[in-house]
Amino acid sequence: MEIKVIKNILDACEGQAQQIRDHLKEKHVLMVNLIGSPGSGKTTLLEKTLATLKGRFSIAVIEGDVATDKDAVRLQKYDIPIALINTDGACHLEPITIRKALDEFDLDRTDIIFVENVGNLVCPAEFDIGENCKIAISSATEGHDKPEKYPLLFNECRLVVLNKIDLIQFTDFDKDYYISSVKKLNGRVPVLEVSCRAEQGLEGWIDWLADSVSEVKKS
Amino acid sequence: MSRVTRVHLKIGNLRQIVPEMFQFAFDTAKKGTIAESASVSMTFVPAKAVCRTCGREFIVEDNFFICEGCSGIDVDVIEGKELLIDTMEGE
Repeated sequence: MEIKVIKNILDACEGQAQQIRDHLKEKHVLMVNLIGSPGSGKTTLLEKTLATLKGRFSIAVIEGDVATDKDAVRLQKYDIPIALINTDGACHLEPITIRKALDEFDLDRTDIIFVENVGNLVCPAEFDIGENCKIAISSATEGHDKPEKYPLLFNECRLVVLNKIDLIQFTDFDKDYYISSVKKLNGRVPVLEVSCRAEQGLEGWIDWLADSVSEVKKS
Repeated sequence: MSRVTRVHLKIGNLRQIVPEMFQFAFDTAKKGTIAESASVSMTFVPAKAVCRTCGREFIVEDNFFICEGCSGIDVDVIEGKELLIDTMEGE
């Protein structure tokens, strides 16, 4: 006997993610899911962002790490709500843990939630956590072949932040190749060239965030 | 149905599923269940996109998400992200 099932294996997970998305929409909160390799500059980007935007927007951060509170500690000085998720080995965040983290925030007084996903270009791209959008952060020192090697993330994301552009001169990084690889995967996605450490190009990122917050407030 | 003998899955090519690993996970998870003796088979679904500019639907090959008709970049993925239990067989 054969029966037709047609059941999405990720139903439960995607259902949870949709509930989160609906809840955040109701509260007019922008949630962005930052995905990049270990060392690509996710936490540094957050540090620079918090230094610039604190006071202008009310911001909260969900820090996902396999182990330690090192990233959360780095952000403590900005005096914002931070929820730390230690995955104890898991390579990505899932909606069930995001939901618990959200309970720690006052969403009526929050404009932006940054989720710093576990440093990994593979699994975080697969899992919907109820975010408004995924953002890929990659750095010049990782090499220009990363979009081709990890296509799903670059296809799924709504923005690419290319970090460490100040170091390109010390590497064989081919920026044109990198950008054309991104565009083949995702022709609509903007690529922002920044150096978090040298504070170059961050205006574009700040403007993008401000525009995204206004869109969410209007919706 | 008291015993599952076969499970068939449809998996989009854009999903990062490794068949051998999936097979291993399935064989591990099925022990002690009514699917203990079940086999698993998979059909992979090619990635398909539609161009918002000219309306053409095309199969995405080699992760090239640009319209093969008008070279448009404003494209939406319409197939290739499935992860479905399609059918089950049993007694």
